[in-house]
Order: sequence, then C-alpha cells, then structure tokens
Amino acid sequence: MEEKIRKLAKSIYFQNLYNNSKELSNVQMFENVSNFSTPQTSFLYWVVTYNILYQELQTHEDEYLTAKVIEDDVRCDAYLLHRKNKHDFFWKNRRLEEAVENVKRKHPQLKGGGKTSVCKVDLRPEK
Amino acid sequence: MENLELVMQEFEKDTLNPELIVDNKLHFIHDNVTYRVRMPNQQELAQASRVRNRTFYTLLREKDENGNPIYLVSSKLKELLKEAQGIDIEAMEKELDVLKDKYIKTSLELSKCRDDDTRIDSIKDKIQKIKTERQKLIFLMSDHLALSIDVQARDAYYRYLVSICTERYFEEIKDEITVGNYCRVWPSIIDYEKDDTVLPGLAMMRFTELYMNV
Repeated sequence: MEEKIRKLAKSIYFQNLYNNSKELSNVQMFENVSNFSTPQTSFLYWVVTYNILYQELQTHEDEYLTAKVIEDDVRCDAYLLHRKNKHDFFWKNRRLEEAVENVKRKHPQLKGGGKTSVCKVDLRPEK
Repeated sequence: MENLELVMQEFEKDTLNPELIVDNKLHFIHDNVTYRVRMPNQQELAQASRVRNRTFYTLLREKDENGNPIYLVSSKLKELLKEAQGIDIEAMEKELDVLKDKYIKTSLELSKCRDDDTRIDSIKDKIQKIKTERQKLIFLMSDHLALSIDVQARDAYYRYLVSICTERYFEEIKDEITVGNYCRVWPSIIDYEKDDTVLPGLAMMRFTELYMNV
C-alpha cells in the first residue's frame, strides 16, 4: 500500500496537480474535502515530501540527493534520515549561538572578561 | 510538445491507478460482487467507542467458578506471561528499540552511498532483514497480547466499524435508467458476527488499510 502511495505521490501527474493546487484554489487533489482516509493523509505527506526533494534536487541542496535516490524508496528513506540529522544539527547550532548571544547581552561584563570562554564544538553527525 | 506532455500525464494517470486516494473509500471484488469500505463519520466513531467501552467493562467483570478474573488487562497479562511461561514482552520491546537503532545506523550508511557505490544492494538487504525481524517481533508480541482485555475491546471497536462501513454495489432501474448504488452488507453487528464466509475478513483487511494504513 505504502509503495503504491509513494509511486503516486512522486509521479509527474500528481506533482503537477499539487503545484497547481498551491496556486489555484479550484484545483482539488481528492473528491472529498474532509474526513480523509489514512491512504489520503499518507499520500499528502509524500506529495509534499517529494515536492521538497524535487526542488532540492534542482538546487543541488545536498551532495547525496540524486534522482536515483528519489526513485528508490529504501534509499529515499535513508536520505530523509540523513537530511533530518543535518537539519537537527543546523537548528541545534543556531540555538546554541542564540544562547551564547543572550548570555553576552544579559551579562555584558563577561564579554571578553576572561571568566567565560567560548569553544567551538563540532556537533556534526558522524560521517 | 505541450500536447505530448499532456498525453504522457494522462497515460501515467491511467497506469498509476489513483483509486487508492481519489476518495475516502476502498473498493474490492468478491464472488463477482463489488464491495467498498468507507470512512466512518463522527457519530459512528462515537458509537464504536461505546461498543469498545462496553466490551472492556464486560470482560473486566467476567469471573470463573472460583471467582478469579478470566481476562486480564495487557499489563497484568505481560506479568503473567513472564511469570508462568517465561515470555518477556518488555525484553521484546527493548529488542525493538535495538532494531530501530540498527535500522537508523544502517540507513545513514546507505544515505552516504553515491549512485555507483557497489555496497548499495548489500546495505539494502541488511535494512530489509532488520525490517523483517522487527515485523516478526511485533506480530509475536501482538499474538501474545491478543487475549488481553484492551486488545479484545479494541477488536470489538473495529469489528463494529467494519460492520457498518462495508457496502455492496447494486443496480436499480429508476425512470427506465439503470442507476448504480451502494447499501450496507450487514444490517447489524449481529449479522456481521454470524457471517461465516470470508467476506468479514476481507472487509476487515480493506478497512484496516483505509483507516490505519497497514
């Protein structure tokens, strides 16, 4: 079931339909507009996911993302895990930087006072 | 060129069989008759919850001739399984976590493979083995816990939903025009429970796909 849904979601037909539905309010993906079935919600998740992946493929967002990866469900799942790790790392780093900035703002006397030190920590996931 | 793209889209649409997602119903054919399962509405879900609760409390009160409870809730059943038969469900749950970690580690290894990497197939095989092992363990755990009160109450909930959400296709003539329509297969849950053909099982399978994506 999941395999069939993913095949539909990554097809040109439904990707085009999804892109059009974002811009035109009268384009509908399904006959029903509420009480979605589980295959329908799963389909929506995959349509959006593949849409993002196709966009990132065009902009060469990640060295490991290729058309063959998108084609192959197992490799695609693996890539999505890698992508999640990468994003988690980015946001963790961003929050860390914000925390450091907040401390500096709240305690200006500590700025370069010798009592605090900032060290660079490599939080990147293991290759 | 534009036309060709449109033709290709139409062709792809036909070969894709989008009936899985086109609406919130799933169709199936049994003995040359078309059936469908549909999504329950809020009222039906509320009624199904009442059926589940009633089953739960009925089973909870059932006692044998010595006054001991016949059925156990899953937490108590887990304890009994471990004590009486050495079947450790908690250890199985931990094993599931270990397999999940293995799956993540192996998948991350696969994610770094270039398209021409010769290890791709062997890593994919490894992932498939982990998935199969997890599935086996999940089936085994649910087999052991199938007799618990919670699981039986949940089953009653789904049986009720299947009994009201399965419909049979029929045709009728209105103003000399043949009109297709659907009607309930089982007028009541009792009729559903009495049906000893394979139809209730088939309907349950399709409903599970529609409602839980299994």
